[in-house]
Amino acid sequence: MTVVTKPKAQPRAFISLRSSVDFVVTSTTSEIIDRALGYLRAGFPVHFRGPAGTGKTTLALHIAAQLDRPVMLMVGDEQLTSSDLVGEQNGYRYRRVVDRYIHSVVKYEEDAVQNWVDNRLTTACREGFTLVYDEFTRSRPEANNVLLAALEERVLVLPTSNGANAYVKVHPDFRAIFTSNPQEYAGVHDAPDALSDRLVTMDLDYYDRPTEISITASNSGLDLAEVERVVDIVREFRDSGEYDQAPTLRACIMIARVSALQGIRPSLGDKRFVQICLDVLESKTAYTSKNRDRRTAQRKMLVQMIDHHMAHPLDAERV
Amino acid sequence: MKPVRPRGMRDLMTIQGISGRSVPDTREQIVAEQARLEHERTRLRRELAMWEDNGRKTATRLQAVEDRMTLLRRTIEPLIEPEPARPAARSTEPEPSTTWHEVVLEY
Repeated sequence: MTVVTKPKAQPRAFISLRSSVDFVVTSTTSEIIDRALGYLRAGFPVHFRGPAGTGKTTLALHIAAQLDRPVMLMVGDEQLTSSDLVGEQNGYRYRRVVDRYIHSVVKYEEDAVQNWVDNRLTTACREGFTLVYDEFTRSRPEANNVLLAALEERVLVLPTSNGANAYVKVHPDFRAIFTSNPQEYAGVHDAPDALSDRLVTMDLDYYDRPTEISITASNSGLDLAEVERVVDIVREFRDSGEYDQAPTLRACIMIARVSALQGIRPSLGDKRFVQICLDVLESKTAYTSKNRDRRTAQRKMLVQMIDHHMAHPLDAERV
Repeated sequence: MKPVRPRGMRDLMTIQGISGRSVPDTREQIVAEQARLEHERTRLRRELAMWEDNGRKTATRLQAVEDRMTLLRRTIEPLIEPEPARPAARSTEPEPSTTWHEVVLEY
């Protein structure tokens, strides 16, 4: 009798990207998308670098969707190691054969083979998927070293002693998109020069006013004229520099969406709207017991900004 | 010279020790050694004939066993299920195919 345990197939997941109805392509974003796609189609990995709230991740996902390939999404983390990228030896595949072909002879064969499990980078390289590595500088630099040969020599070197599986030839359709925050952000490591040199880095800054208005309007459901007011308040606060963390497009969307959901119209007389603005924007300044005076002054400044932008009634209010 | 009286088995002259010895030079020694060698040749020829006879008998017996096993195998083959007889056939099976699970992400 022959007994062989059949190894089970390992299910793996990939991401299929779809743009939501809120996604907006303006002339500014369209130009960035076209440039990035050009680099990617030429075989170069693209790196979006910029402050928080500039739409790096959304842009990376949108561009990955344009490549029309399955996507592997990874998020950089301090605890990430190279095995989290490429995979590792995980358990054993055990096989036992009992051969009773001749009744008077019993032959046993047993062997245990280490089981290699691919992780996201290896799967993407093997299958030709698009890798989106979000916030990659939050991983320690040595964890990302494995990317060097994969991006340049198009060979992924696996840390295994098994010669047959030690190298993976990178699929021609494999593409990589990276995002990162500037180095002054907390928890961010320097990108290794060798890796940076392999990437086409595109610096993203806060979008222009029309783009911010379009995105906020699309994501909130508020009237365009009211969205303009919200965006103007946030942009003026951003220009003032009186904060520890710059208010971003997310602040615009937060204020506008909450206002729309609660039926609040951005107006001078609505204290609820003022309170929402203060809740969202005041948190951009660090709270310590020593900076109460600064926070008081900041609150006064914010109220003045809101007053200033609400001073001109909307067309609907004029009627 | 007084002849040495053998005191044990190790002192006895045997035919195996002849090849390493020097060539005798006296007639008595030569004739004695020739006589021993003729006896040894006869013994070895007899032994060779026995080995050859045993070889023939063993080959005949082996062929009989092979014929019998072939007969038994042909008899049992229709009775067993169509399962691969040797485990080596299993080792060539392809690796299990990967199943993919799609996760839809809206951005």
